[in-house]
Amino acid sequence: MNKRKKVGKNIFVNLLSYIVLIVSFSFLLFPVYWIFTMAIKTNPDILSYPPKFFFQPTIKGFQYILGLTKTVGATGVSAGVESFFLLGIKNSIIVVVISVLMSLAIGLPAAYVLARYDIKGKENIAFTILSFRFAPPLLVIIPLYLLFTKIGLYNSYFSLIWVYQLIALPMIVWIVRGYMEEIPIEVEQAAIVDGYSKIWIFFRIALPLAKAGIAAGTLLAFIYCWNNFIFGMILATVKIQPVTVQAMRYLTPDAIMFREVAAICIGAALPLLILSIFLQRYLISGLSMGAIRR
Amino acid sequence: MPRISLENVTKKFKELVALNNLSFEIKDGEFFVILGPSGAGKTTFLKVIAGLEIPENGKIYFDGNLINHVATPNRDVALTFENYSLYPHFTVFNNIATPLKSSVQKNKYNKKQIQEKVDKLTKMLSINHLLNRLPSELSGGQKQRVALGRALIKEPQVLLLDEPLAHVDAKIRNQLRTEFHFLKEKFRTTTIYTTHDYKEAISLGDRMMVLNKGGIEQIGIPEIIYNFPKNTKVALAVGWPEINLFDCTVDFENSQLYCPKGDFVFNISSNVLKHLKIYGKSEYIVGIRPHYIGFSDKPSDTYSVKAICGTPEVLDNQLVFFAKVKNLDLNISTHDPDLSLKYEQELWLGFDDQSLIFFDKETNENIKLKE
Repeated sequence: MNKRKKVGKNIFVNLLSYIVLIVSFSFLLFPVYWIFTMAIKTNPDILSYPPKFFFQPTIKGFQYILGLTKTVGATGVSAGVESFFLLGIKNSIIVVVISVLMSLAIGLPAAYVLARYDIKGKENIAFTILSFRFAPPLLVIIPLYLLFTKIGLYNSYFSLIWVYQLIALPMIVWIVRGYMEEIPIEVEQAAIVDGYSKIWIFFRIALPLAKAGIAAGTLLAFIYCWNNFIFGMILATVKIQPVTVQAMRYLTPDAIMFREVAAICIGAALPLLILSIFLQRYLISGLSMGAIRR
Repeated sequence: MPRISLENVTKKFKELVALNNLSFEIKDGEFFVILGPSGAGKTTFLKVIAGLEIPENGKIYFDGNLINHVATPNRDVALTFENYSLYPHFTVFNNIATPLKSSVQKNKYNKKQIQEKVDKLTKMLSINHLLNRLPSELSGGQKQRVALGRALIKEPQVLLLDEPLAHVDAKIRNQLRTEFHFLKEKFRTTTIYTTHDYKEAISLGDRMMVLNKGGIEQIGIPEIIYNFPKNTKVALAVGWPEINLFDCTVDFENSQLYCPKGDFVFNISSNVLKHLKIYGKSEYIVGIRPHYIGFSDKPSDTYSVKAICGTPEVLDNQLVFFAKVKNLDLNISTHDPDLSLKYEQELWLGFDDQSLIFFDKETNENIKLKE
């Protein structure tokens, strides 16, 4: 093939790849873009057809969900609007952070044992933990509701934290177990010969070397717990419900507040974004880092 | 009192027998080398001594004390692994200092003392300039020295080295082998050193053992192992090029040996014949090391066996080639080539009968060791 044709082919291939990439990304990111614009549009603009891509933005939606909008009551007294959004964020943070921390406290030692020890029925235990993820929440929600109300745990942080273990624990155990199995056993054996206990090995060798797995597991557990809707809706009321459920409050009989719900979507996603950015550097680091000859 | 002694030690991994009924002793201060191919059980042996593996059967004694149920940290041993197994997230300094900070040391050393000890040892191992590096930033030879440092820092009673030079560049290997001699003299720790390279074994070992499939083939000083191998396996394990082994029949009347595979005969002297008569059999496996086969481009009384030359290889001051006699291939080497050899050249070979080793055809055992 002569040089001209080759260059032409290259340009064509490059152009084609760019077009494919732009189309795919547009397709994937369009909903995000749309929600984002919905959060800053005026109500008529949201509902207009054909859809408006150029509009006058407004921050009224964010003000409303943050409780900064003042309403005037029948008697002429102005008061702040109740912020379900902030209440939801507070509840989400309390429930999810504690859930994930608890899952780490239980799951990390469990992952180590599953990776290193040879116990009877080990794979059965491991699979049972994984199977928690298989059960659709809708399947278990009615028995859980009945059980929790009977033992007085309805509408409490404790019940949500407990139930969220079903989501977070399998994630952490299975991901971290895989990373711990990758650590060469000889590094731990060297520590034994050097005179250290299994506990020291767990904290100073296994955990640091499984950092990437722990970060990945924590992030995924956090995201799945944060995004959960059904447990919060059925097992708790307004006071305890996380932000995913609180968003429903803006679908009132008077008006469906699309803009405010869109604003909540963005607000509720922010903590996840921040956490991802923070954990990102741990996800990149490799394992063993050249201390073992391969 | 022997430093380490084993009685009937057997170690199995499910069905695989890794160590088969081992019983022997290692003396105090001895540099003991275990030579064996991959899979012989060398690493398993070291781990059993260290306490990382528990044998199914048998007793292990340190200084006469039974230590089967003593936990590894209390055995006062140090082990270097074949793939170094450094702590990847610790600096070189911390890798070496870690053994001194464990609870087993009972806080014997404060920070300053640890610093001094590590400094001194790393200077001796020529890695003092690398203290702040991570293992991923070191070369193979440097990692090996750090692993050694980690083992030597606590001045253990027993030092276990698992194929330390196996994965190091050839040039560095020779250098490190010399350094091992130096460390050997300086520390005089009872050491068990495993390798698959017979050169290391012969060079470094006070005594050595040939281990094969979990069983002891022979134990002895290197010279004995080389010159009086107990059986054909040991003879093959030591020496390069490999010893030549071929079946022979003794012609007692003519004082000759006949080799069926190569269809040739050569003379043997009367004292050699005498030994064979005493042993009684007429068929043997004959072993001759490559440098004991002489050759010439002209036939004569001494060089009487016709052969065809294979491709010659010149290494340093050594010339190595194989020669074909009918169906038999013989390895030949010489340090003094006075012929320029060509492929498929005709040669006449002569065998130094004083250096022949005779093995019983049925048991593969050296007949000399039977006497």
